[in-house]
Amino acid sequence: MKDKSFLLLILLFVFSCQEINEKNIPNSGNIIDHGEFVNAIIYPDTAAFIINDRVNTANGIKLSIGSYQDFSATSLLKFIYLPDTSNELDSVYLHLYPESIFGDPEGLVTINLYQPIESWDESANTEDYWHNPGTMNFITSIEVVPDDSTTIIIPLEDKELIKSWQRDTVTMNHGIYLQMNSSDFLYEFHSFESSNTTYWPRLMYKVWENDTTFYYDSTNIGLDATIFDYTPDGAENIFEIAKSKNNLIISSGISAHTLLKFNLKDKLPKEAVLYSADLKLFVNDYNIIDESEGNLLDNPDHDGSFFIRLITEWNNDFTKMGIDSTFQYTNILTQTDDYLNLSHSYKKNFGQFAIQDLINGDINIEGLLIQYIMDGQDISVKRIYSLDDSVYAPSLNLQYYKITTSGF
Amino acid sequence: MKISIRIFFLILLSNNLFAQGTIFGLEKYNLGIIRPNYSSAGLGRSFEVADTDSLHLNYMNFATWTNISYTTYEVDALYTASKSKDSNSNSYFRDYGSFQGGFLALPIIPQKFVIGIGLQPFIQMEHTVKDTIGDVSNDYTVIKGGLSRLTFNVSYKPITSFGFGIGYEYNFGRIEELYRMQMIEYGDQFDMNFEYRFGGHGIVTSAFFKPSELYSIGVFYRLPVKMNYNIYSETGNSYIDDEILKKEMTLPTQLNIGAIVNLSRKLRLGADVIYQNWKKGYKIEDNTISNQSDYMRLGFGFELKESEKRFTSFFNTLNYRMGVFFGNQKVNNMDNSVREYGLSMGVSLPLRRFIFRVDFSGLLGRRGNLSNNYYEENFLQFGISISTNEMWFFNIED
Repeated sequence: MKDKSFLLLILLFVFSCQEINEKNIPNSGNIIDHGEFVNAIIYPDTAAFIINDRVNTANGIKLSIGSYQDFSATSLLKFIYLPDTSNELDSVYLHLYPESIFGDPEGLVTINLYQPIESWDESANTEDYWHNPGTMNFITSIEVVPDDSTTIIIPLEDKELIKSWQRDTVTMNHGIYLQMNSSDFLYEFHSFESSNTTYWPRLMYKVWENDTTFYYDSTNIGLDATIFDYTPDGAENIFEIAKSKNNLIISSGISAHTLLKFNLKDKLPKEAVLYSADLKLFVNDYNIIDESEGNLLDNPDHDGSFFIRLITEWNNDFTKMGIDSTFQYTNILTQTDDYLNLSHSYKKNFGQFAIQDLINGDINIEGLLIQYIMDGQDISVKRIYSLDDSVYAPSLNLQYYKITTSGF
Repeated sequence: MKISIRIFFLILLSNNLFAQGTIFGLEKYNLGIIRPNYSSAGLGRSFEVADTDSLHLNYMNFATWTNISYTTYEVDALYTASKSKDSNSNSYFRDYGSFQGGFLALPIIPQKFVIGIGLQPFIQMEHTVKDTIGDVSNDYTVIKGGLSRLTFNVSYKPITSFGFGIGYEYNFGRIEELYRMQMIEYGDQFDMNFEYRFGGHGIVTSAFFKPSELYSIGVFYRLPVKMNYNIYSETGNSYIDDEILKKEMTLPTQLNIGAIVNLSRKLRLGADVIYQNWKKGYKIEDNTISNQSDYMRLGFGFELKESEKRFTSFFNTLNYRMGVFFGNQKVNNMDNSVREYGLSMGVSLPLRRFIFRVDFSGLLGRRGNLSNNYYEENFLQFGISISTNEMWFFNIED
């Protein structure tokens, strides 16, 4: 009997654990809440942009040459693996594959090749020397029709140059310096960082083997760097004009980062639980110098994605600035209609893992830095409305729940 | 010893098994509805306070335990279901099963001095509601948990017609709350969790008076219970989450009064009144809570007892019970009190006559009224109690 009673108790226990799901959930206006959901717009206290004309172009997916709207670009290119010297060279050709073009010139353009005197690496754009490299030995030049589909094939007839590269790839092979004579046109070729290896720069060569010529193209592995410069005509410096017009700039090539200073600590309640945070930057599509026309410098081929980075400290003239290195590049602004903002998943991420961390005291955020993801890739300039615009001022749009009470 | 292991096993398990099948009771600062802690026998006849049964543990009056001769334990389980509708003609169904705790009584001096221990859940909450009024989100609140009391009581009967008891109760429990915002624009959700852990001490006293076989009277009084509770939150905001809020809550007094009249050896009538002053006695941080009413339950019933003959038909070995009850729940709805009433019935089945029996009870009732409240519901309950007796402290050789 005892065993039966114990069995009965166990059955009762099992029965009591059977939680039967409710088929529907009642609506109630008296739901227990803990506060209120708040949609808040916070405007920056200060907005500015800073220029870096020595950005590292090592990871740029393009090689640019030419000039456009007072911006100019030259490129360094070096092939590392060269054919051996056992066979006689017949001919050598440099192949460059256009990725896009910037500008709309008439007639032919001339691409010039020079022999750099100094060695260099892919961060050459950060060094002053390459912005004014002095005289270099001319190798060759070619006139081409400026379009973005035809492969540029440049014969390198100076076989002694190639042989010198073959003999000593370290001390003699400084590669090629590419420059183009044009006033309003930029060629943008695929670089060695391009995702499509088929279009990497290539050195094609033909050699004699047993009285027969053979083509080889195994030398498309190398180093490259683009050197960007901006030499405005006096008063037509777009960056200075933008500053005078209280505009903000985000640019690549000649890199400009927009800085927004927020006093978030004072403007956010410490009881806030963040759902999302969105940064909204309205794009001014008009030319900075002549506002009757569109922004010619907004490169349509530049991927329109932008990083938000957290500024932990800065001084008033931006000469000293701390960037949160632990904040990874996981919040990407993209352009929607006429403004840059975050997608929904990034809004949640930015709100719940950055702004919430600020409220929690885990990080300090004095401001936000907005930059092109690839700000060493090519020439592109975005013009952004700033604080003085009553409609299009930058804003941080927050959605949070403000907890005011516990349930009991 | 096996029995004690079973009891311990049940005490451990029952702590996590709180549930409540009603649509009422979800209001801010509220602790659900009150369901009186009757045993299944008491539930079936709607009275128990003055019951001096020597084979059964009276959950509503520990003083009557002085009538038992053997070590007795009793456990209960309850199934409850309700069909509700609201003022907008939406209907809802919900049901749950749960343990209702158990008691163990050890007669140190049979029929004179008894000590007891037990576990009794007295607040049980399991609610999910939604609020679709907002334009940003549909908000859901899920509340689950409850409060229980671990009781230690001592009962003494100085004379045959009178006994009294005093008990200490440790009140404890945990209520979990999930607050979910289902964002309308994106369909994803935004959760915050809160947990409330309670603890506090209580004292109860009880007495019975049975001057003759004709009638008995019982009374039970629970002093106000001061409880402390800590609030733990999980919101993502460390300012909120790191601070464990400590608060104080006072539960009101409880008074049970009952009387039983034995019309014959087999038939008896009884009545109970249960009262708790929730309106003024329920406080958080010394502040009374709005939207409360005093709890009151009045029950009447009769019981047809089993035959005392050793050899009789099966049906004469059963106890039959029936009763009615009506009263007022402690929590208001739409600012009006929630009335409830119903019919109860029960039967006691001896698995081993005079030693081991199972009590079944059934209850049909109505709670709330659409003319006064937002909801009304019809509910039913099925209860089961298992009680058995053993000789623990008798020296068989004497």
